Amino acid sequence: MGTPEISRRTFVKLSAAFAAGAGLSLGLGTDLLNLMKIGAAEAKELSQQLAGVLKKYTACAMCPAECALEMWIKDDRVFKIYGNASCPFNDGTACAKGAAGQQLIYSPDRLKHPMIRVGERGEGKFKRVSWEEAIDFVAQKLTKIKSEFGAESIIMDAGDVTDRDQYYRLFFAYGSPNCTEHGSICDTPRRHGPKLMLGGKRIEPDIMRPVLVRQKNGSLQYDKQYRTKLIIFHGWNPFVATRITYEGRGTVAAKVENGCKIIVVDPAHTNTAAKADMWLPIRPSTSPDFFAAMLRYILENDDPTRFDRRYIDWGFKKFSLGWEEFEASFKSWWNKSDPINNLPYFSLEWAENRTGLPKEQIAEVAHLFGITKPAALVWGMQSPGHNYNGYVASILGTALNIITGNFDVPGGAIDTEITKASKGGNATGKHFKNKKVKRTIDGKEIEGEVERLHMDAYGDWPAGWDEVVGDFPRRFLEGVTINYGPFKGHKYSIKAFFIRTGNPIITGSATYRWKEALTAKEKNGEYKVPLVVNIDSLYLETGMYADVILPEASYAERMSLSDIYPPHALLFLRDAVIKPLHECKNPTDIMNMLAKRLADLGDKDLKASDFWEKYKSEEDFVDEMLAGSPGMFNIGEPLPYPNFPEGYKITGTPESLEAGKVNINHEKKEVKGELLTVKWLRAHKGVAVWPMSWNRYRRFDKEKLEYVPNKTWPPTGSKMIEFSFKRYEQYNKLIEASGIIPIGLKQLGWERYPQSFYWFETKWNPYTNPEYAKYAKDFPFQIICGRVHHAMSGTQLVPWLAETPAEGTFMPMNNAFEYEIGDADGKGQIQPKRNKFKANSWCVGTMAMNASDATKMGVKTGDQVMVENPLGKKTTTKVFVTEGIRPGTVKMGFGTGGRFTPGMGGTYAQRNYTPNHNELVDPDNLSPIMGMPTYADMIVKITKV
Amino acid sequence: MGLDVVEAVLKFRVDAYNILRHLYLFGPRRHIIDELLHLFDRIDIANASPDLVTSFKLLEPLKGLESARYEETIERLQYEFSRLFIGPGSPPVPLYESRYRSPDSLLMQETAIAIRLNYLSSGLVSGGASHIPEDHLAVELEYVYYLAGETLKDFQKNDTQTMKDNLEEQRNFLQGRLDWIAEIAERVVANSEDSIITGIVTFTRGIIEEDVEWLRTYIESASASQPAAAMVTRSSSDTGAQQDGEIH
Ligand code: SF4
Repeated sequence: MGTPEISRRTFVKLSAAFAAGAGLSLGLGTDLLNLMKIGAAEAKELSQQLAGVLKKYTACAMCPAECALEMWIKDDRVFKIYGNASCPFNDGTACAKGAAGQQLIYSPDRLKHPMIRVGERGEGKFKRVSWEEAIDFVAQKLTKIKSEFGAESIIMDAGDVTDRDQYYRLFFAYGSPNCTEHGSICDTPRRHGPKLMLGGKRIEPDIMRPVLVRQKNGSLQYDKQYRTKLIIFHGWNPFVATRITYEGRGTVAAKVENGCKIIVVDPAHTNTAAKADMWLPIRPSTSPDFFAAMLRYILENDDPTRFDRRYIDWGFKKFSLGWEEFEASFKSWWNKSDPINNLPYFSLEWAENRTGLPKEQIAEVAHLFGITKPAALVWGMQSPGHNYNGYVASILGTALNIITGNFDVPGGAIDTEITKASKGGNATGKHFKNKKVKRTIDGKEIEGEVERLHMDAYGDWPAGWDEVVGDFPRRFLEGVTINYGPFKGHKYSIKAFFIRTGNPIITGSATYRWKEALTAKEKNGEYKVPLVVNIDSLYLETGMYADVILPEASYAERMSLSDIYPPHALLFLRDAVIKPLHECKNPTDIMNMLAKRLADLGDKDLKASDFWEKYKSEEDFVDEMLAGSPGMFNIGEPLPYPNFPEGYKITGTPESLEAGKVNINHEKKEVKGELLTVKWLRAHKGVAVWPMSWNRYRRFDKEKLEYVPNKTWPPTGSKMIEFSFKRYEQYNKLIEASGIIPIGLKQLGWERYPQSFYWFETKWNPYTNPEYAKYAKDFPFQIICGRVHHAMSGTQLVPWLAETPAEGTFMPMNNAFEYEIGDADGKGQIQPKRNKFKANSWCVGTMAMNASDATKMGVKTGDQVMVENPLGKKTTTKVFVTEGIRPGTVKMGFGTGGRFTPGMGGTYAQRNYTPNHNELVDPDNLSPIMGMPTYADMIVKITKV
Repeated sequence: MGLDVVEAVLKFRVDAYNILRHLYLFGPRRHIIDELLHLFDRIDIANASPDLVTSFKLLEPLKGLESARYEETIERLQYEFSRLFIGPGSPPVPLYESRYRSPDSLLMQETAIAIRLNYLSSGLVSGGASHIPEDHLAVELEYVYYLAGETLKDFQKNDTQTMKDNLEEQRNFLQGRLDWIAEIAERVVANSEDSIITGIVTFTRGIIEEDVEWLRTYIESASASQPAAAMVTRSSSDTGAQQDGEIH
């Protein structure tokens, strides 16, 4: 017996000198540095926990960024959440809120069962029913409404997050064109300029890294280089408000790695401003003024012969239409004098007077933007997105990015709406809107497509494109009149309102107006809108006014796709990583159940072959959504697919395209690879990435030896950049044919939508609009409002985040309270637990006020005040005194306070002393082109309580 | 002569992994490099693998340097170490295993769970003073260092069963997990012209490969030649075995 072999072959010298043994390397220490010893029992338990863990790839839905996530699942429960490192959009990161998602998924406050109202609307009294009862209740009402009032009298509002296509499909097939989303009540003026001029929506700096780029040698590689040299964030706060995940990290990275300068123009010293090289505390509601002064300065001072004055890259003219008219129209204001200050429009002096910023500073920003390339000018949701005249700002901002040569260049300004992958395809069911229906108008039977019954496009807001208009409560009270198209003169009432994952009572227009609209009754005692259905996983305020509540699967329990604002084609799966909790159901099942019941009740528009037989699972539905992806064009530099013809439309999995497994249709100019499917995505960590390119509007003409417009992109009517507003022509034609001027245009004194640059003043701003100057003395504060990332409804149900303050508008200033929350039980599982919270330990909605204003008023942090607008509407709040806001301006968070639904967890307990900003919004002040509530235009007086 | 060859190897292993974990955690600091050079004195180069011979040749010149030059070289080495392994930016040779297992991913991939389970099987969790992720080379080396130390104790206590389990875990870990050292070494050769750094990674790869081979022969022959319960004995009645093990 022995161990002879073992040591015959060894490289260690055996010498007495080394016999002293281990620890010869005394200088190094022998303690463990990276590992820790734990008890055997604990190790065993941890091993067991890890042993059954499955990793699944999905997407967040706790904010509109919808980051790609990796969820660790054990025993069908979400156990840990990380960012998905395979997705370049968030590049492996998840914010604190995303990583804390278990507290939302397992919140005790979630909706758990279908319910039918038993009390009055708003009382919040419901009885639990079965799904069959709930679906039957809804289907019976829908059948009756359709036969008595027409299918168009229902509105399907699919709320804030994505995953809405099933509901659109259901109601398009049912026969209503009125399907909409939260975008209808949010920031449409901000998106207007890009839509008009580029066919796009949102301009972002080119700072998503990495991006997949074709190399000279034909390979694909991730490009990590930040090229941006200057970003101007105007009323845009990516660090705290809406997240576009890459924007926060990209801003810091561009600064650190590329010396990028950051300028923030915002009345409040936001977290983004804290990262900036320059903060300009502009007067609220003067964004168009600032941009107009920038453009005038650039046009007046541009000098191609001087390197320090070469602001304009005149090459843009070749790729655009209508610049001369735009410029002439813009310049036509220069000699006019503004009645509010008797200064020439758009001059530096004029802008100084209106924006409250020194003219030298405005000139400096214009100059810096002119000479620094690549740069991006980005404007935000609150302002100008929520201003009555925000359209003007977004048009000017788009023009500024284009003429300075920054549009779609590496490191410049990218319109992410028109660069992302297409998805949805036929699944959304838009083709159902082409169905012909008959209506009797003035005794005559008229036939036309369902589409022509749209309450906005053919009603009061023809330019409210993409089905986005926020004029709802009025519709509920007054009904719809069709003004344009074949059904002109047709009137209908809104008889059913489906609200899915949105909460317009708190987020859309004035809260009191919504309550009024949803509780208004006919003479016979029936509600004016006889059916309100809420589909959600949370019990929000609007749910309290519903007749039926259908509990929807949470974002971890349903399947869909995510693709939020990347600069190139990129899609990632939201997978159902666990089974729906409680009695919740996913959207596909809800769609099928309701469609089938309607068919059983005799509705011939809802066919098995379009619903329950076609989509046997969510996967079937999402596969159809993916069929046309990415739907990108083979354009730009470097050309994404040099082996395929330039300008052709590309569909198929990245793999098949790379391998050349494609069919090329020269007639249709299409290249089709293997269809992208859920199965493919699952096999690739949930993510599909296609190559990025830049300068996507041009191609190199080998005969002329110069770049020419490729006439493929951007997706405007002319497929060129448009300074002439051709998109408006179709609406002007409707007006001409019908002779009816839309209400918004009437307010402006216009008869047609303009063909080029236009200007009008905002409302409720006494410093720019003479009509409101009389209010300045009694209402000395302008009120602004900003989204607080971790104070959106869903995330207020995440108590782990309740200790994270934000910018003076969401601060740990609570009164002591007790509440049942979902909390970790020590094994990583969330369980309901009753907790006591001390005073000042939990963040609540507050109002930020400048220190000098507070001193004048004798107010200090924590004091309760009453805030009142000129319409006599009030809300109460605690004050947070700060230097980080412009004097004369106060700021609240959006939806942070006055939350009166018991479904809001700990936030509900604070409802009596926290502010609801929307009580102060003027519900009749709708932005004149797209009809959106103008949350950012208001003045107030403040009194100590 | 009474010198226990197994014990000598076990002691060598403890010291080698101790030096390596420090080296990849803190970088090439002077006292660590000093210890590394001392370790060479304990290697029988004539019997060693090509990697160890190469690394010996590459690192040996350091010994002859006068103090100022030595310092200078160490400083240059520290820069090169950071450039290759740490950043800023994306370093050409990241020291995280997950980066090699799934090239399109960063940290926290499948490897994370597997590595944690490895550590837990020995009653360890990552999360000491250094706060680096569990799949960092230094943490994986520390794990082997810990097990090597435990094995030595088992040997000295004559706890053969535990020693066997430990050795098998080490072999599996080195073979099945730490095999990515080969790619690190290749990438360093491709990305650096510095002979010292090349020497260090070649040495690391060489030691791991030699160790795997040693563990293999040890475990196999021990299992074959004796009951598992007495794989290694150091009892006085068994001196023959020990003598057989002597290297001449
Ligand atoms: S930024 Fe938004 S989408 Fe991304 S992890 Fe956070 S909450 Fe989720």
